[in-house]
Amino acid sequence: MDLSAYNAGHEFSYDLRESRLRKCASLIESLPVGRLLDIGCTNGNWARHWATRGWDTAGIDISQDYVAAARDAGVDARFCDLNRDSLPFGDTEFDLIFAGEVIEHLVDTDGFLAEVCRCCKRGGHLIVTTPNLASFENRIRLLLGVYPAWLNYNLSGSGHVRAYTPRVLKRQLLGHGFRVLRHTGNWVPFIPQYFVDDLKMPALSFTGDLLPNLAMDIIVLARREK
Amino acid sequence: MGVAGDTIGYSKGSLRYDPEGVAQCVAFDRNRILLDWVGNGKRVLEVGCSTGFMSRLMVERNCIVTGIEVDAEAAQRARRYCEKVHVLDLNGFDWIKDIHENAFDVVLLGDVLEHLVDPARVLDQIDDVLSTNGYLVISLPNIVHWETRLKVLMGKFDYQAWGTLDHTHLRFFTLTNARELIESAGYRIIRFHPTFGGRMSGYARPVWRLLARSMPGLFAYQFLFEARK
Repeated sequence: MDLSAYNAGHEFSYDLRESRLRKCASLIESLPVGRLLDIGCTNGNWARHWATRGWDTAGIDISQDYVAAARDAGVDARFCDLNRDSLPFGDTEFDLIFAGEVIEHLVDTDGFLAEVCRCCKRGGHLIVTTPNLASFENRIRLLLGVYPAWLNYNLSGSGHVRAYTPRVLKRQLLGHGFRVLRHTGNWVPFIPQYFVDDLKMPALSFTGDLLPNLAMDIIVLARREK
Repeated sequence: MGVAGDTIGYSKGSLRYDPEGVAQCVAFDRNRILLDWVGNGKRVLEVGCSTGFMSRLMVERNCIVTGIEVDAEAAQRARRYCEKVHVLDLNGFDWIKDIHENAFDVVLLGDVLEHLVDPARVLDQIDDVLSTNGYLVISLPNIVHWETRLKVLMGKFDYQAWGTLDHTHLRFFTLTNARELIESAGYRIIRFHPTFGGRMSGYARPVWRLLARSMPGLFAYQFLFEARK
């Protein structure tokens, strides 16, 4: 199986209650309403949520089933394999591009960000979320010689092929003309995620704002400058 | 695209692995041991041969080398030493069909598997071109080397042009899952050798060698394996 087939077959679920999405929601609410692209839109729940708040939404996904489901839900969803295809949209079409838990599945991340930049308006925004290789839990794991969470040594599990730290992501975004306005995290896994996460204990969410560099996930809001 | 250390690129520029370009590589005992394990007078498939800097050393040892390389420019240089060089992307699905030769005595995978999307599949495919008594010689970088542990503890996991955090690395291994990967593809590990870092040469070499042998997870810079079906 190649990466595209693996990604297409991988069921990706999210919960609107997780602190990652709640924080993304408050970032989006701080922006003027416009046209929004949800990259990796799955069943279209997230895009629909923003459509009801006035956004003109579109989505892409690698799974034909998800594209069909999102279309049924009334989202302008299109098929796109980011490891092969360009974004099926025109230049500077979007005011906001949301790429939640996507970039770690891509081999050519520079090509991806170049495409995102092309489709984003000048002065438009980009929100990226991705697992943090240097989360508190992973720092301890690596220190003890244990393999980091959310990293895969072969094509299995979550199917991730890229590992990011906040430093690396910010630098790469800057290289593609995006200035990071805000960096936050979902929650800091002082206790391993296996035992406690932000759904079991929503109060943990403040730790991600306090110590974003140690958080499980990197959440960044960036603006296209060039 | 993908300026090293600046952005993470899927650069196919294998030229940078040539020791003429990155002199640092030669400081490791990796090459010497890989060559010893490959042996003399063998029919070798060198996967990821770059400019052929290893092929040249193997040809000097009377081996006949066929190369596979993703970068056409590097492959052109490797043709100086190799009998044949295939320009192929191992992340492509059926790359093995383009290799018409078979019955190689040795397949050398020197720091290649970490660049692949699905290393287990590639190991499995390679079995088709191995002779009955053929074997693999594999080298993989160690993600939990003490330097990387300290870097990540400080929040730094910065990709660079070469080394453990090379920006074209998709996969990272500890000793445990390096073994798992090889064994899951149906091979038995016959030999293992931990190499140690390059900057610590001179008087301290025996100490580093001892540390790498006794605690490979912490002190090995690379893991070298010989494996058979």
